[in-house]
Formats: sequence, structure tokens, C-alpha cells
Amino acid sequence: MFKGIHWSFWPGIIIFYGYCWIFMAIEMSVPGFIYHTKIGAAPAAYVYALTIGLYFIPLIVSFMWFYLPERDQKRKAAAKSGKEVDQ
Amino acid sequence: MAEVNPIVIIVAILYFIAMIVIGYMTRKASADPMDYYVAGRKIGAFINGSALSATYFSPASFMGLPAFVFLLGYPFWWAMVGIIGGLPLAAMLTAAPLRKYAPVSFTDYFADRYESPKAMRVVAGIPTVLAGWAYIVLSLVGMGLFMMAILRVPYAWAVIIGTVIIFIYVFLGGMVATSFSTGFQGIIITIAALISALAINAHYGGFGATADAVFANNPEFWAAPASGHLPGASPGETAHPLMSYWTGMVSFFFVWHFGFTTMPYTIVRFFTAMDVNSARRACFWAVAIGGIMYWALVQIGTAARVLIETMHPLLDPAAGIESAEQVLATIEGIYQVGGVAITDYSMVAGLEALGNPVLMAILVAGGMAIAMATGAGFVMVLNVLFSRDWMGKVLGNKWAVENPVASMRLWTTIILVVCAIFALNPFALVLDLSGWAFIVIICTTGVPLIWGIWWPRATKTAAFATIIVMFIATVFTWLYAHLVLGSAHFFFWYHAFVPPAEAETIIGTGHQNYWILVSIIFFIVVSLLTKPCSDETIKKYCTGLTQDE
Repeated sequence: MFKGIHWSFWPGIIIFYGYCWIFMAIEMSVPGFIYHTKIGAAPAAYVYALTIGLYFIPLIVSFMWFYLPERDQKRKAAAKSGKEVDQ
Repeated sequence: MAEVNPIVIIVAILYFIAMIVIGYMTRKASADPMDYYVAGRKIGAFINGSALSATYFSPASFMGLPAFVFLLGYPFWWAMVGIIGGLPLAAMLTAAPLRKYAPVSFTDYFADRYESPKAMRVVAGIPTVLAGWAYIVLSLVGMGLFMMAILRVPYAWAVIIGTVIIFIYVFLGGMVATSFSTGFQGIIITIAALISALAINAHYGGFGATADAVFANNPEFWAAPASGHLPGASPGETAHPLMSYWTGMVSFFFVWHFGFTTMPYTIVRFFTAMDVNSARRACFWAVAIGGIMYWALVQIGTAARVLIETMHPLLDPAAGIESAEQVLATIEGIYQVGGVAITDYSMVAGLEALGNPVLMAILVAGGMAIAMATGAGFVMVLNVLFSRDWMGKVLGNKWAVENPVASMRLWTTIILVVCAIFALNPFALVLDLSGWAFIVIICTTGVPLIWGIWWPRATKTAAFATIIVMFIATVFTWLYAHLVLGSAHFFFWYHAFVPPAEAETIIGTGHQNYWILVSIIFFIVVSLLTKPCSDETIKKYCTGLTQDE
């Protein structure tokens, strides 16, 4: 299962689920954390859940999942063309 | 109700003209069936990404998810995180391998991978048709509601106008028109949601002030499941009994998480991408654009109650209209649209309370854009399924094979007429079934699709069994929960676990996400017990798609 999937898949999975579960666990264990922990004037949830969790983490993961496979493709193609030149 | 500002009408007319112009400019697509089916596989990553987000985020997102936040409170924020977090998964699991395989219709992969060119097209097509029907009806209803609530157009006329406009551009330009119009709609929707959210925060004086206003109005909104420890909140209270348990929050996080990777109307967009890399990049743009929309929708849903309960023009304490639910019920009484839930009006009503005509103009464009995007997306899935797959490949109809574009246009007409008839007087079950449609696709065709791509041991028997068994199981539990327990979101086996004495106050966690796990296990077990597909098939449609880069 998932044999052949690009290696960046697994770090991406860990980043997204790890991030979400850490903050879910904090919310479960710290009473009042959601509203009473503030960053500036706003509840911290606006930053860790709404902005980073909802937007930036998926954006970073989706960037990783197109950029890294493309980069590896280019490297492979360059290595292959180099070998052909050597031969 | 208040009169409509001319700005709102002008924006709506300009939007309609833009859609018709896109259809007219892409009419040459009818000359080549591949252009009509899959836009000639020439759609770039940005347009495709925007179109993906607009198609995937139906009126169920634009109206329904703020309504869920309004109703269930902060814990539902995590469901929104789960939905956006699910978008990148498609880049790896389905977008790249399916673009490499380059099919034309949603059922092509099932027919080839599971070595059943006819029967599998029918079996995989049935849940697709039912899901498509529910989603198109939902889209037409959503469009009707937006036009009625904001433009004050009578509901029936609103549905007819919206249906005709979708019909014009899909009929003229097929997938080319659908791609460009939907890409355009994705931008409009995001701008509409973002401006609405910023307007709300500007009204209260910032994010912190908005959060404080929400807390002052309804402290339970910010309560964590099973907590009730907020000062000012009632002990043990959460915003809604569905969030009484942490499992409620976690299950909502997962329940829509896998949809983007498996839903037919998103999958077919990957077929239109220029190449594998473009398909992956499209997922990035879907997150970039759709994520902003969700960021905004969360805030609209969060503030909807306080806006309605403090500022809405229909508030009338003398007449006993004091709560948001009472205002929404009054609106429902004025509009009287079939089985639409009162909470579905919460987003529009919340923004209406701000009394800004420009905001309403932007909102009407956004609301109609998202409804049309989803409706057109599923019309394209179904017209290919009916004309090319079922008429052409299953029944061998000569006319459909020789006249693919004419056949698709015929089905476009039939699909839209049938769905518009249902949308004119939507009974509650149709709208509820759109929620079921999402789960049934993930559980039936979703699992054989992903496991077929990534697991050589996936078998034909397991694919057939999973689609049939999970179709029946999800329909039964959805209807049982809806008709017997009172809400489709309740766990269908709820009474077996909750003592009758507590049944009134504690509501079980939704069963939908359990079905996804059951479907995966069922598919794996049946695959291990049955004969695998031929080596040639596995090499061509499994390992060949995933291990050759």
C-alpha cells in the first residue's frame, strides 16, 4: 500500500495531523484555553486554529507535495541526461 | 423586507452576462469531443485550482458551513480545518496518478482497473448519479435562496433563471466553458467571503472585539466539548449537544476530510490538467484560494448569531422575536421554500443585519457563483456518464457514439430540467440527502478508487462488494437516523449506547465517519479473500501509475 508514493507524502501527513492533534489535545486538557488564551486582543484560536491550522499548514503541505516531486523529477532528468552524455 | 438596492441588481446582472459571455466564447469546444469532455486537457494549474475550489465548495459550504458554525460553535472550526487539510491529499493520492492515466469519465478507471468494462460502469455510476442529482438540486436551491433573499426575486423565477444560465454555458462550451466559468467563480466566491468577514470584523473593531461580542452574546459558543468551564457559560453546556463529546469534534474533523480526493466533480477536473505536475499544482491553488474563503466563512458563521440577535431588522421583542432562531423562523415564514432548514438562512441574515448594500451585492455574486460552479461541475460528470458511458459503452447506442457532443447536450438538458423540477419545491429529504451523497461517494467509489491506485492486491470482487454494500448501509443508516432519531447527524446505533434517561440531553456522535473506516476495512478484507486482477491490469492501472516517476 502506497508503495511508490513520493517520500514527501509522509512528512506532510505528520505536519498536518501532528499540528492539529497537538492543539486539539491542549484544548482538551487546558480548561478555558480556547477563549481565554489570547494573542494580542483576539483568542489564540484565531491564530493556531483559524489562520495557521486552516490556511498555512495545508498551504505549506500542498506546496511541498508539488514542489518536491517536481524538484526530484528535474534532478533525475538531469542525472539521466548527464549519464547519456558520459556514454 | 427592505427594498433591493440598485447596486445589488447591477452586480447580479453583470455576473449573469459574464457567465453567458464565457459560454459564448468557448462554444468552439463543441467541434471536438475531447474539448467538450475534458477541455482538451489544456487547463492550467491556477484556473484549475480555482475551479476545483469553486466546484468542491458547494452552497453546502457557502451557506451550510457558516450555519454549522452558528449552530455548533467553536468546535466546528476544526471541521473546517479538516476540510481544507484534506485538499492537499488529492495531489498525491488521486490527481497525479489519474492525470497520468488520462481518462475521460469518472467510471473509466473503475472499468479498467477492475476488469469490468460494462458492469462496473453501471455499479460505480449509480451512487454517482444519486449524489449528482442531490448536489445539482442543492445547488439550484442554494442559488434560488440567494437570489430570493438578496435580490427579492420570487423563488421559482430565481431557480429558473439560474438553471437557464448554467444550461447556456454548459450547453455551449462543455468542459471548456465549465472550467473557465468555474475558475472565475472561484475568485468571486473567495472575494465575496473575504470582504464579508472583514466587514464584520471592521464593524466590531477587530478580531478580538468580534470574539468578545460573540462571547458576551453567547458564552457557550467558545466552550470546548465536555467542558462547560467558561466563566459566564452554563455548567456543562456546549453550543450544541452534537458537541457534547470530544468524539463529536474529532469526527466532524474527519467526516468531510477525504471528499476532495474522491468526489467525481473534483476528480474529473484532474483529467483536464495539462500534465501530472499541473494536476498537483492545481491542488496547491485550490488550497490557496479555497482556504481564504474558509478562513472567512468561519468568521461569518462565528458572528452570525450576535449580528442577528443585536442588529437584524426583523428583531421585534414586542412580537416575541428575540433570538436568532426566531428571526430565522420569521424569514423562513416569509420565503416559505420547501424543506430548507432555518439555519441555512443564518449567513445571509447575519450579513443583512449590517445593512450594507455593497456587501449584499458582493454576497449575491458569491452565492450564485458557488451554486453555479457546483451545479455545472456535476452536470458535466453526469452528462458524460449518461451519454458516453451508459448509452455508448454499456448499451452500445450508435447515435451516442457517433454524435458525442449532441448526446451530451441532450443529457445536459434532461439533467437540468429534472433537477430544476425537484429544486422548485425541494422536500427536506432531498437537501438532507446531499449530506449523505458526500459520504456515500467516499465510502462506495472512493475506497476502490484510492486502493485501486495504490494497492496491487485490490480486487474486482472487493470493488463490487464495497460499492453495493456501502451504498445500502449508508442509505439505511442515514434514513434511519433522519426519520427515527430526528437528525441524519446522529449515530444510528445511538440507543444501544445511551441510556434512555440521558437520551434527551446527550446526542451521539455522527456515524458518517465510522462508515468510511468500515468501508476501508471491508474493502481490504474482501480483497485479501478474493482473486486479484491480472498482472497486466495491475501493472497498467496500479503500479504503472504510481511507481514509474
